[in-house]
Amino acid sequence: MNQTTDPWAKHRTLARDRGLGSAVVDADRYTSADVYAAEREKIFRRVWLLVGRESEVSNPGDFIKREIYPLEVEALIVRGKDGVVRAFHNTCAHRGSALVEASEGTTNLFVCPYHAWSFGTDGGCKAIPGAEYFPQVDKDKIGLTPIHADIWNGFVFLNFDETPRQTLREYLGDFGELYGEIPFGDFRHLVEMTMDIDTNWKCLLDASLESYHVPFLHRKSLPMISSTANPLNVYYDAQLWPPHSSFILQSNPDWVPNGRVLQFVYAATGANMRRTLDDGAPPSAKLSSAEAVNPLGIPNFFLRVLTVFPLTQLYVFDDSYNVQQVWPMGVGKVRFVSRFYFRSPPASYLERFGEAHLTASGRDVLSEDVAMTSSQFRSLRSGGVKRFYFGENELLLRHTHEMIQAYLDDRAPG
Amino acid sequence: VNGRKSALPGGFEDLAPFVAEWGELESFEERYRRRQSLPMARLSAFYDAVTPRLPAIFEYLDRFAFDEPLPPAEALLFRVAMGLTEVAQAVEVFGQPAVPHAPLDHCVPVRVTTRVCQAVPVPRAAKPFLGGAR
Repeated sequence: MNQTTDPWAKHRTLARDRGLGSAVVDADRYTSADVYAAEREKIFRRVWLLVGRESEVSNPGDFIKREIYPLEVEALIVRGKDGVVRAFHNTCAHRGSALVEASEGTTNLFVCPYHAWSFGTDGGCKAIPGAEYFPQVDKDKIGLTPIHADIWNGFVFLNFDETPRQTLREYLGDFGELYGEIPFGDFRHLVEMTMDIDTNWKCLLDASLESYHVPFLHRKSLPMISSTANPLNVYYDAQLWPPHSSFILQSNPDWVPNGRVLQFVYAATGANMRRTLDDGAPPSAKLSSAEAVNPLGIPNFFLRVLTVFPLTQLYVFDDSYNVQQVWPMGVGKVRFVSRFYFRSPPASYLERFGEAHLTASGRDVLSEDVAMTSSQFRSLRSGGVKRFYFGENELLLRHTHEMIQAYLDDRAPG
Repeated sequence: VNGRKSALPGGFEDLAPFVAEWGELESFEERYRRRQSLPMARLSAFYDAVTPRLPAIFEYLDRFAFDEPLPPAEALLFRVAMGLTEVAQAVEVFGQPAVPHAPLDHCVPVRVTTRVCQAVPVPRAAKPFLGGAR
């Protein structure tokens, strides 16, 4: 099948179809310390940032600690006795020590290791040893410094603005409405990978917003995507919800698993090219069956990627989903976190083997992107190029960089 | 080496030549490092020996209860077999030990944790703030 006989070709989305300019951008936005400083204040300190799943704090007293790298803040996310999820700076109200050392746990009381001031799960101060020495402190009026927190479809978001310019609901808008019913909560088994990468966060994000590089950089590691009909993976049904976006990627219908171990894993565990282990759920429970995920019924569905501006992507497969985040830690440093959620954990040694194989294969694909985007960053810093070209087929780079610029220019949506 | 420690279950003695390289490794990260540190000839020899045994290995291991620790010999067999999750990437995908374009001795810091998140039993209501904590 060639391009002209692909009946779905009309749903391929190019930049001109969405009225996107930004065909040429300055390269120094990736390397400039000033740009990064502006991004910190005008983007990361203003927008809602996805920090985890509500199910990570299932029960009253459960807490997780998350580093908000670009802001150098440690956030405590905790479920109170009343069932409400709240977030606080992990900073003691006494003299600012880090309160909690563990990355997660369950407690009724956070006790500072320095002078044992203690705080409840609602952030309120519970006890001060030698309170008589602090006549200036009213225990009932002080507490942990709160961070704005809200929940969308089971994901916890934080906002570090003094007064958020938008509620989370406003921030996600129609994008949030459309994808708010995808049943992410059914997926309870988590495989997490973390990589520290010497690159600019936008280099890595760019690589996740176009699949033009797949037949080249990932020629060996992702042969199951690019097809004869769509060799450069122009996106189908790409949608913009400023500042967010989404797209569908197809798989190659002509690809057959080659390699005896891959064939064994596929045959024995029911794993497939969609990077999932068949968990026996009925077709109606597949994530791809959710109306919003593939409303046009694009054939050979591989995944839909939801990009939650600015640093989070949700990869929606059939029987799993993957949350990928590019957390800036400086102009040239990124902590990349990938969280794969499956419906259930492996139930046999065979399935553990299958899961490890899938995970290794996913890590190797990501490692190719990591290698390329770190060498890209080193090369960029040499000043060897002054401008970037974003193609018609790289429309989501154009869109996302326009959104970044809009925030930096104080003309962001909302 | 230690004869007792490196004993594989009966019927899998042919995999003994690979116990030294793969039998001690517990984690995802250790296996990835080992794959990159071995020459392709060693990876290929491991691949050629273990791949045909995969059905028998898991048919055997899955006779044991999954929710209890495996006996030492079976645990050793499982660790050896898990090496193939990395070796297959080198042999079947890349034709070389490391990921292409990555520098030699490329070491991506990778942390893998697997845990079961509980279903949320309490109301989903989220209020950003509370009285009293300010």
